[in-house]
Amino acid sequence: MKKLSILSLALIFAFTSCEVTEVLEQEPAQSLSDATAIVDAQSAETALTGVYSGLQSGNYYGRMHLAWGAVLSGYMGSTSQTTRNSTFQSETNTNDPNDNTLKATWQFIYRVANRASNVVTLVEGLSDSDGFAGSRRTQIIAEARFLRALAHFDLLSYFGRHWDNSSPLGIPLRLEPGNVSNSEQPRATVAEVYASINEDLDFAIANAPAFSSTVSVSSIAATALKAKVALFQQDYAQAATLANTVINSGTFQLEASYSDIFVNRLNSSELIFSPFFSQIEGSGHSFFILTPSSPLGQGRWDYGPTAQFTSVMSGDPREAASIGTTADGVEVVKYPNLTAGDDPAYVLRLAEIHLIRAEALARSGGSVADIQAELNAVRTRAGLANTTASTVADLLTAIQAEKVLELAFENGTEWFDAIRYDNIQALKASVTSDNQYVLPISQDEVDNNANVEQSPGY
Amino acid sequence: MKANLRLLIVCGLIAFGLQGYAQDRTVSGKVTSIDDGSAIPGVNVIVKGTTNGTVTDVDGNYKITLTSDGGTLVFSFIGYETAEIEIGTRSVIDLQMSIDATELSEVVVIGYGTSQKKDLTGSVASVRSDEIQNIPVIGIDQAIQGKAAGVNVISANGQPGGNVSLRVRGSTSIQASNEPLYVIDGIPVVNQALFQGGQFGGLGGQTSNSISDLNWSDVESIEILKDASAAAIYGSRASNGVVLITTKRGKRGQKATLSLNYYRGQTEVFELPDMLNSAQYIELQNEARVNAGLTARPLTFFEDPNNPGVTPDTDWMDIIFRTAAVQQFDASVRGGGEATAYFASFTVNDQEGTLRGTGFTRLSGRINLDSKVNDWLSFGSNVAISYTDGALQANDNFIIGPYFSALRTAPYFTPQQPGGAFTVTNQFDNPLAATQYQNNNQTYRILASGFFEIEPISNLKIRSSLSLDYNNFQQDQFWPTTVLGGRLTGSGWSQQGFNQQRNVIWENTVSYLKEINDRHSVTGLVGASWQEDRRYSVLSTATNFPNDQLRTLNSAATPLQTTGARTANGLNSFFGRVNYNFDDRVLVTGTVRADGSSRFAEDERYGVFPSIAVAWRVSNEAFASGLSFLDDLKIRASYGATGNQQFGNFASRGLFQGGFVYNGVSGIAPSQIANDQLKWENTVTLDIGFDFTLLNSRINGSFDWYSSQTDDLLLNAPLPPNSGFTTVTRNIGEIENTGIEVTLGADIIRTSDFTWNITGNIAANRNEVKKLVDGSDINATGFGQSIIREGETLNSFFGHQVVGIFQTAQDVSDAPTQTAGTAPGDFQFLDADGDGAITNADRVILGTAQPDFLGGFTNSINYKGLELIAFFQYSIGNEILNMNLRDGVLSMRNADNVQTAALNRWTPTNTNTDIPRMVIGDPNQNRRFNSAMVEDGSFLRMKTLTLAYNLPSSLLNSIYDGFLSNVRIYAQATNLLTITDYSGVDPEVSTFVNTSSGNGVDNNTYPGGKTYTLGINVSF
Repeated sequence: MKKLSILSLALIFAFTSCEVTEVLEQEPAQSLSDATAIVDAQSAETALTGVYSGLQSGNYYGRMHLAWGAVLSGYMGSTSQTTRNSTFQSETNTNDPNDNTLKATWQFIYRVANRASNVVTLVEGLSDSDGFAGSRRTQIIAEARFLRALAHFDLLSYFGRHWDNSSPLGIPLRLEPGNVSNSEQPRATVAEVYASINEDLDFAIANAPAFSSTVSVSSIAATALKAKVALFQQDYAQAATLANTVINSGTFQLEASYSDIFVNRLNSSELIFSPFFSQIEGSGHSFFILTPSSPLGQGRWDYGPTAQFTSVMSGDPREAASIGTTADGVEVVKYPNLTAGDDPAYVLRLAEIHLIRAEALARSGGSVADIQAELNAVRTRAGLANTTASTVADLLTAIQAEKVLELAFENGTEWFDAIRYDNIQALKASVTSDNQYVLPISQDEVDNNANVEQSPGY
Repeated sequence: MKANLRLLIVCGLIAFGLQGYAQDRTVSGKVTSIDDGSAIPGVNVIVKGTTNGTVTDVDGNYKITLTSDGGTLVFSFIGYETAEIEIGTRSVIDLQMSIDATELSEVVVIGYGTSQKKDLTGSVASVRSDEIQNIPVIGIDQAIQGKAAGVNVISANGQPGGNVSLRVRGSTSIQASNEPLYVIDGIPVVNQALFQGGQFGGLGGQTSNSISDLNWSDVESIEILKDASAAAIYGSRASNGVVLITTKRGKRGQKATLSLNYYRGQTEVFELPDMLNSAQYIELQNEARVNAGLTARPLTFFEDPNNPGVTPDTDWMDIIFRTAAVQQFDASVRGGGEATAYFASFTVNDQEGTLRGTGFTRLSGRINLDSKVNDWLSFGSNVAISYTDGALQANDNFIIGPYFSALRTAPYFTPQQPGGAFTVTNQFDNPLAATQYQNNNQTYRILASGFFEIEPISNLKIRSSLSLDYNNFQQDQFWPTTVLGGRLTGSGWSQQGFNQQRNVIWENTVSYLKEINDRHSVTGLVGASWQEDRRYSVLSTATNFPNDQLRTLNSAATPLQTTGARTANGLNSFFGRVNYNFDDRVLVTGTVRADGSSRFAEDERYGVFPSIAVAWRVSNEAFASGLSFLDDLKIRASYGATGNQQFGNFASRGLFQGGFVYNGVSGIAPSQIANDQLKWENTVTLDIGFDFTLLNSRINGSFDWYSSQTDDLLLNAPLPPNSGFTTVTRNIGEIENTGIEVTLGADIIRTSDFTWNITGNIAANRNEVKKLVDGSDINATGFGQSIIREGETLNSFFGHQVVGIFQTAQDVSDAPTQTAGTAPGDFQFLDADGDGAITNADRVILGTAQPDFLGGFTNSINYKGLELIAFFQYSIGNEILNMNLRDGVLSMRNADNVQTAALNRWTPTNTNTDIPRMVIGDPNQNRRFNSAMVEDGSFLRMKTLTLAYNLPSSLLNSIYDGFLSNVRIYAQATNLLTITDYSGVDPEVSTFVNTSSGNGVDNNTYPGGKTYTLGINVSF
């Protein structure tokens, strides 16, 4: 029996070195360690896909991009179905830094910026010989830099004092992969943010692929975005030039009919850039804007057009393609494909570029005829007569009005324009101070980043 | 055996040596049972400390010759309490023996072994099978709630088989789990909800509970290891205590007993919130509209479009709740032959939930075998197989929840249209429609182990066991086209998948018992253990089904998404324990465990967890022998370390994850930020206590004081979101728990026909967060209703303090600025920071979900065969955040219905109220988290009331020659009576049941109910 005991002890402890007991060596099956995540062309491409994917978030271009500016400016508002606090707060321009939707918007836009910076840094660390075809490595970096510029520009326009080049109150820039030690980025000044955005866009203009589809970054899309950035930055000559480049590139044509934009969607000839959406990668646009009784499908109707919008839109030929009346009330119909879920987010389309050029010319000493021509390009397509405005001042007013009718509920332009034109306080009674021109910075950032202070007034 | 023999010989020699000095005399007497006075034959009677003994005859008489004066007689007999009686000068000593009421000789299960209760040095709470039999329990919650001091059982909601949470001596962790380790028959098992989420965030707190697949009729005992001495043998998993569940086994040579049990009953939900009827709703809604500057809606607006002129008045609560049936049948057989002992059982349990569309079914079977092959080799196995099927409904904060919807849907809608279609209301789905969502969770579980034990030399035991805990969890959701969720993406929507878990454990131990002489004995145990837990899940979603009958994925035209995951963790451990017993007076236990975990960072692979405990059995000291009232007194102290590693498998790594799909292509993106120093959380506990038995076991009790410090707490330290992440996991925090626990039991009346016993316990735990990341608060969990703050308890509610209600516009303008829309009738909040404006900085701590005291007590009265048992449970001093007040009473911010309590809202003519005005949009944000939602959650609940009748044995004996050995008929009510000031439906609910800091939130949570059952138990 002694032998047996020795045998069994030996049996038991002999296994300590065998495979059964090597239980501590576990590797994640569904994740990659960061050291091995981006090592070659194929992994660089998948990481770039990950950056694009971030645009689809409901807190970013998947929904909130249409709601923030539209509601803040007063053209859109809450309905009897609204439950979202952010909607009520934006309606009264009393946004709460603790509001969950606001916090999520801040977080998810930065998420895109961080993913982009991971791609930029890690792919810069590779060489063309790591399996990249042609200049694909540089193209990947260029696409990522465009997406980072877009994220920074969106953050600046909502949370920073984008209209004031001398303001220190820009936004934190996310130019390196986020880690514990670089997480407390201070606010860059507005000028620094613009400089960084322009540097990224210049790289993208020089290196991004030629236009192939609306859902991927192209050099011409970077030019278009830079035109819009220049307009915000008040570099009007530059804005007019860049807009002209886009218009004359011949890559995009205005749709013959306004309503065709929303029929052709991602294939629209005037769409410059939108994130991809489909039934599987669906957006939340339609669900949150259609009424429960909508003929287009039963929605939640979290936001609906206000009287401020329906009165200016009344009688315009674009009315039917913009809003519709249902048993519950008036709804926006620019995102009509509830089931298919493939309505774009209109980040950039040609009509806006015409109007950017018109305004930029008006503000940089352009000729009245040139300004009118750009404005009329949009009006003609809409089915309207040429503008009757004939002075620069009247044209500026007409351009702002046109942008509301043409672009409302698409990318917040109605809100930013009213700030840039400095007439938001006349437009909306609840805006009484320029502090309300920016959303408060997410409380999560203020609480955890010692280098960031909340914007004044919040 | 050899050692024992030697001991006997030594004792015998001593006795023999003394013999010459004594004069012979005899003591005689009769031994009877205290219960019925009948004689007990076969009782061992021995002179203490000698081999001099005898046995009582058939009439219970004995006679023993003494060899010396004085001394003590020890009477012992199986099933009766051993009695020691001093002889003195008496020559006749009669004894009434009592049935073994003392717990001292009870065998208590401890980690990797058993101990007699008298030899325990640690703090172990024990719940015996007779306390949990014949109660319609499904989960461990009902089995041990209120029965073990210091164990707080928190049930999520009224879902049968639903989620439950245990806190042993408070919460030790913030980020990692606070659930104890569950060990069933030596196998550390999985107790985690395996639900994988779903559209609209899944089911809220309504997930299932994987311990619910255990059949409680199979359970022999539950032990809860509370202090470090008891728990440290489980090392890095023991910080939250260890729950040892032991199932029944046969005994060799035991006559086979077949036991059948059936009960049936029904459950009624507690009294539900009283919602506004249509007339009241119209009044408040229009008032709220006018207050917001909107126009009042005409009465015609509220009429039924199909029935002009008629305003429906629907009681939605009545429509979605029902009286639910409950039944269980179980059969078991237990016995043993010469070599093999067995226990086998089978159970069917079926419960409806009071909320339509909910229910729980369980089928389970078990075989436990023990076989002794020869003197030195034995084998055994335990196999339990179970199937459970839980039908669930989303609730809590999910818009497809029927209860969520019933709390909000306006009463002027009819449930259905003339064609049968569900009426579209102001909610996502109307409550009746919401009950049509099918959410079924099925679990198939195999818990199996085989072991052998050899004893090559006496008292040396080598044991090896291999165990498997296999769980296959399947979720099956189908949303028909009759509900909105089923029409959103196409016609019908389904999500089906499984999450399978395979946990393999191989454990080997060597134990040795050595008695050095009659005063010293030592037992030792060393062991090694390997455990690997693998998970694999698949979840598929599809839409466009041909109709609502064909619900399988192959019927769907459009696949939407398929996801899946694999993950694993491993634990490699070495452990040991030494017990030293000096003369049954001083007991010392030392344990140590070294755990290596794949979850820890490369540089921190192994954690070591030692403990030491000392106990002094005062009653065995010479000076205590004169204290005849004192049966037993033991003073204990223990100190040691335990750990917690219940966090993410790869929490230390910087990770990229796949599945970020764009334009049909899957991408990767950073998913976790790295921390290469991540390790276990460490808890050090000091426990001092005593156990006592008095007056011939009439009174027993125990007391414990403990203090535990947990440091290296894993915290998801928040990161500024500009980093692309919101958190990183770090070992940073500290928490302290101190408390006392008292358990007392007394036989108030103890005669042969009538007994009355009261046992009860009370525990007080004080929890304090000592250290957080940079001392900064963590805005925790769920809706941001709680805060974790240094110097406060973990479950602290956080929000604005209501000062009162503004009565005039002047009051508003005199007060600190709130919002632009603030008007008379709105709450005035406290300007805590005195800056003249009400901002987030003015939020203060409003209360805590942690009770000051909690416990339970049981009254058992036994008259002949009739038993009446009333078990009460209580919790004192805890607060509940009643979020149902938020949109249900304190605001009418949109078209949602509210409770009748809102009728007392502020109006210019009803100013003496604490409910603010109703106004659409709630411009003042009266619904922000505030003190008006925090209520006293103390309660006393009669948890069970049982009336049972055991047929007298005389009657049973007359039937077929005593074919029946036991017949018991019982009636039982659970939750019959609740005394509480809480205004919500059920003080025992918790929306965020499994989080450390979100307990005590009642947010649209499916309430529990009262259950009445009738049952019969027959043994052959």
